[in-house]
Amino acid sequence: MLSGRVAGKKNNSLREIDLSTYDWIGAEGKFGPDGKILSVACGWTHPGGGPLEYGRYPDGKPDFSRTLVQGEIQNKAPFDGDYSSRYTPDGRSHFRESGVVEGDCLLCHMSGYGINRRNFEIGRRNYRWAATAGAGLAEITGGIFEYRNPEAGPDHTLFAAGSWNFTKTPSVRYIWGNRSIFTKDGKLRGRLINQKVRSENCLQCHRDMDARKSGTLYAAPYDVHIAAGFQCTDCHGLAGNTKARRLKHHIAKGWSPEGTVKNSLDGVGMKTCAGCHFEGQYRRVRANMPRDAKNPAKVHKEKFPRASSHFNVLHCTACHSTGQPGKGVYLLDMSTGDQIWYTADALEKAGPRDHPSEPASQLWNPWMVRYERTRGDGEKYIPCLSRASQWFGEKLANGEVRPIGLRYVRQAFRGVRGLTVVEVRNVRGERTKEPTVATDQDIQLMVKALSGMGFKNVVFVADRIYAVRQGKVVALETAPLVRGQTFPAHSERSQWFGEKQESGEIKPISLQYVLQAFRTLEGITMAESKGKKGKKVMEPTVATNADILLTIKALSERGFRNVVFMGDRLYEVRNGKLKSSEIPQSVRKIFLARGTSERFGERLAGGEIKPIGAQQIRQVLEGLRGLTVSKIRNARGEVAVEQTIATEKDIQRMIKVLSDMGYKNVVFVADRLCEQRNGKLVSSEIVPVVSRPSFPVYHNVLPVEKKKTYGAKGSPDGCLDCHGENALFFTRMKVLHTGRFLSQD
Amino acid sequence: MCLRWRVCTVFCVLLLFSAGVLRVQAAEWRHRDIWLKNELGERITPLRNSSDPYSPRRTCGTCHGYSTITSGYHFQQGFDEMRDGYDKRRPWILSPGLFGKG
Repeated sequence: MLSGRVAGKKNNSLREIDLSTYDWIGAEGKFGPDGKILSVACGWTHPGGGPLEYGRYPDGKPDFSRTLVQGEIQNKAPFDGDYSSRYTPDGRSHFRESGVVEGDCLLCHMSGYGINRRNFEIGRRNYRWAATAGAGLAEITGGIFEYRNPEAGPDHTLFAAGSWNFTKTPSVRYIWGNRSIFTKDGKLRGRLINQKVRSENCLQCHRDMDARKSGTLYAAPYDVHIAAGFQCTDCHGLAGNTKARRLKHHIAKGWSPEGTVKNSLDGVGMKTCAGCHFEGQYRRVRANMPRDAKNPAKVHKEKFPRASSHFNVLHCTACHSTGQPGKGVYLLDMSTGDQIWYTADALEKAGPRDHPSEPASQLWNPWMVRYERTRGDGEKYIPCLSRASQWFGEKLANGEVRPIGLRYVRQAFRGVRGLTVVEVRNVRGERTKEPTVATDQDIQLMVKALSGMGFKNVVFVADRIYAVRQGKVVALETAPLVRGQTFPAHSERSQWFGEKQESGEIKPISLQYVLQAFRTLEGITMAESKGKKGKKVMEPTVATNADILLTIKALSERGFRNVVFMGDRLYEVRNGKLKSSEIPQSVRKIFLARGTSERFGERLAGGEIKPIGAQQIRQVLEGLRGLTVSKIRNARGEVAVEQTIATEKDIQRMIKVLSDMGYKNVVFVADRLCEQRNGKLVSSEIVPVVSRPSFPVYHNVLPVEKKKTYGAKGSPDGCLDCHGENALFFTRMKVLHTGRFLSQD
Repeated sequence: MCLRWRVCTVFCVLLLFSAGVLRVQAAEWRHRDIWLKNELGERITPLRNSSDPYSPRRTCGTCHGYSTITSGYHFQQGFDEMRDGYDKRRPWILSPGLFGKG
């Protein structure tokens, strides 16, 4: 498949253009001589209209006032994002000859629509003819573009070679004699047009797409709803509570971490599990559908008495979609400029010729991700297929990584010798050898080649982001995939402590232990006072018993004996504990004349109390400063002075205490990553993580059987599906005392 | 029951049944037969414009709100919100997607 990005409207050079609109629609879409797909064009899974029909204004915004054909006539700008082409002889688009792809109503509203017939025309740039071919109304002869080597696949150097024809229009021969399609006078038979869209139409695009993304197969053996006679539109109707709104054809959709198109419509008009199974919204609209939607509340309660908290944090499919039937794509290797897929079920290599919707040899368990579907609803666990990938890009000044076009990566790869070759198995069981980037040497070779082509700050993105620095491959710090809780809670930024693992991952340190470390460093109470020149400063003061104990201990370490403190009473330490007694009258006058923090003295042998010098006390108090203090406004709106972690010294002290507690390779994660190296605190830039997309599993609900639904056995055995030692996720702890656990409601 | 009554009863039942069938048939939806039209809005028939591909916009759009229908997100795929500089941090992302997001 051509994994291209459509170019911005305005570009300064050809290098900035991956695909123009003209090329995005149809470039490299190819069928082999046997009719099987060799490579998919981006426009193949688009129903037409929108960007396949209209161009953009100079600022890149959509221009609905004229079609791409009309816009092309007036556009003369070089490197235009709509009207240029990497494939045509003159480097320009040819919408006048190709036409545009209009919104194709029959793609959805006609049984027997041929998506491959339609896409074949798009692949040879016959955009105007695509709808006619797809509906099976006519034979189209001749193409604007014809492949020279029909059998050459994407790995062949002559794959995209072909000839362009801008003078002869493709010919159309309607099958007028077919009375099932046309009336005698040439009208299209209305009975071919379906009012309700049938699943077969949706699946023309979504069958392969979803099989690849999440391993979902829309077939009765794998989904109880399909087996019960449901069609896609039974749940995914048109959003809108009026006919006018529904005419906009916003098809009801759910929530996806990856889907960002029209997020405002997430859930609008969508039938949900709860809506039908708990809230009585199910309606039987066809005779072959079930009479009702079973309410599982009673069964849930019987299986998990007093464990209702689970149902607040789990999406229904977390327990009910536990076996994906399709192979799915887990790993996408673009390191050599091609797109090599590896399946989720068995890590087998799959290509465009391999049908993505062929079932896996056995069901496999999806991953689990936490995701907040609706703002304010809180995160829930949702099964998914996470996609790993590896590719080359340019690291920008802001830390983001801009992908390098695959054609350049391919060019670099073809000029490099000595890359690692791995032996892999493909989905047909055959062993093949695949070049890939796997070692530091591979990375260096490719980075050097791409840098030689003019790319700047080339990095390799895989499990981490790798750069070449002074001839060596280094892994750049990336933001951790899992975040710890911010400490202290009132910090203005996200900051937390963790242990850096060998893999580079950072494992958060549990909050209770960070708090424990923090407590040992809290130091003496700080209070605001007027310093020199009237400026407000925070100074150590003796205000609490803890302060008294700290100061007595520090003074004792300095050599003073039997140290006492004169507050409202006389305080001293006996047998390790702070005790108080009445202040002797004889010393009352002397000490009470001093500032509170300076009322320390030594009890002498005869019972007298000798004051300790104020300067020495102040020095000791300075040494007892804890962590940085700051003013915060608490939940009640009151201003309070609280200790926090704000300076390098604070961080170093915390790291030391946590290390003394037994933690290894302690790091501090904030806007930079801080760690101790050779006694010094060093910080490094955290490169924004290139997120791994997760494609949620909302279908393939399996029948409730003991083996297939998590927890179906009921407590306590059912708990072990997720909480047992062999569980794939969640806590791997033995559930020993289910009674005590289940006593919590 | 006498023969006359039986005949009347059977006749009434048949009458009611056929009325019910007709009512069902009348309720069955069916699109009318339509002329295909080319990009210029001209009719395509075996004798006229028969070498032109049909235009969904001109054909279906004769009766149905083509612009409204194709404003749906399946057709737009983020194009209606697209612009250069959409994402300040990642300039290659031009829309909420899929067209323009890569």
